[in-house]
Amino acid sequence: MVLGELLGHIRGYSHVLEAAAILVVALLIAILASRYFRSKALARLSVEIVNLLSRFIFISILFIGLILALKQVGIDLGSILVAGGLLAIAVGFAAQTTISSLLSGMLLYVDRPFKVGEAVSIGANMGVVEDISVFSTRLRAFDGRLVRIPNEDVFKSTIVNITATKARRLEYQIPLQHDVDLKKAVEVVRRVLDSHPLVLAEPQPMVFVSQATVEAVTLNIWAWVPQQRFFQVWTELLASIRDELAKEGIQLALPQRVIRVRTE
Amino acid sequence: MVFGPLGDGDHVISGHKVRVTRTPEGVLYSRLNDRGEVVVSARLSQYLTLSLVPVEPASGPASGIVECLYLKLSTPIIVDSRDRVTMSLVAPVDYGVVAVGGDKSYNLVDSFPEASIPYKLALYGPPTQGVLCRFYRVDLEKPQDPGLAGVRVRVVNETGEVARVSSIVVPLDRVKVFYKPGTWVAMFNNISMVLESRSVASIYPDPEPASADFEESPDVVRDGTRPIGYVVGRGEFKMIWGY
Repeated sequence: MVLGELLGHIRGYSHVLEAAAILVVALLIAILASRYFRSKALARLSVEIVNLLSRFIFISILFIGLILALKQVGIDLGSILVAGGLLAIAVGFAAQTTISSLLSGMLLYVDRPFKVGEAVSIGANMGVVEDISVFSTRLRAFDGRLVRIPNEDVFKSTIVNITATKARRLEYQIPLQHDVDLKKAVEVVRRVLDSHPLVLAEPQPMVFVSQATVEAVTLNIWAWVPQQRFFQVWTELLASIRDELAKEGIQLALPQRVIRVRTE
Repeated sequence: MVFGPLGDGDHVISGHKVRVTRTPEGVLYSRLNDRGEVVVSARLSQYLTLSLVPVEPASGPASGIVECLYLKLSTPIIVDSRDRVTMSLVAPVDYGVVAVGGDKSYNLVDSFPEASIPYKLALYGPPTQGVLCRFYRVDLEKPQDPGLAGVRVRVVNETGEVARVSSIVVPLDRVKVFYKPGTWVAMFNNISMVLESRSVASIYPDPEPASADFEESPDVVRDGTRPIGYVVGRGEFKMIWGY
């Protein structure tokens, strides 16, 4: 009698149990399929694309499993899809930014303006790319802060990939006093550039007068240096140029203002 | 200063003071700067020996980022169509101190460039795609001083017109350095440069030593003991941005 009641209960819940079993199987298949895809695709595709596609495979299989499980418990799929469609429209309006970020993320995967580990500047943010996910990009700023930028903003921003170049041109503008010997100043700067081992011989550095204003004559210095040593060379050169100019008696221009005093 | 085993005591190599001290615990290697400060030091186990050898010019301030050797000829070479020219040049080598084990395996302990040779770099190609090179302006008449190794370059002009060669770029992971023990004489392997068009030349380093009485230096770039910027590519190396 008790056994009969128990069997009756079980029969009553059998659809639910079957649905649960379908979900479990779908989950297992999703895990296995995404892992299999990862193992095969990593040799051919980049990590970011493999991550995106394996997540897509996982979610798709799970979604199919969910539909089959719902069908098993007698839930009408047609009404769900209609409701889902309406929900999608509602969610679409509510989550415009998220969806925009998602689409931007996908476009970033296709466009690939940078990779994980590269130093970039995205809008006002600068740092090393730590992660590119579907919705956002994470940068490790040079001061150690972790910056999360929605992909929508990344896609709209001006992106400068710093790592992608082997060499960078550094530029200084040195204001000199009007009475200095410009030829000598150029020679001194050229000597400093030539003696620095990390200033590239090719492309050749350039030293030229770019401006002559009331306040100063501006010496422009362009020198190419290895991208990976940019900051080191930038600081070393500036100090050397300043020291050598001072040694040769070439004075930097000081800020000045001409004040005319009218006497009655 | 000669290439070969580095004995105990103080040595001056290219203006660098190097000290090798043998203690009951092992061998202590140190390199000192002008102020007598230790800039590089290593402690070696007892049965290792130290040897001074010429190595690929990948050390110095650009260590880890330099990829190629860029020789700029002060006098360009003009080669007739379908003709070939062989020239003997000199190019910088660095000094390497290697610890050699009983089984002849080795490890790079220290390396440094010759102080009397101007240390410069250059970019061959555009900033985004080019290669960072150790740059050396070659004077065809220059004698082979310490810190310079001989290199024989055979230029083959396969183009249909007279070509002018003023640059030779060789990937550092393809060159081999040889030396004559007991002297400071070093040589690179021979290099063939095949001009394919007005701006493209292929570089083929010859794996054999230039002379039989030379010994091959430990290959510190290829075996990964010393990193270079990156391996330029598995296949042949092409100078695609002019020569």
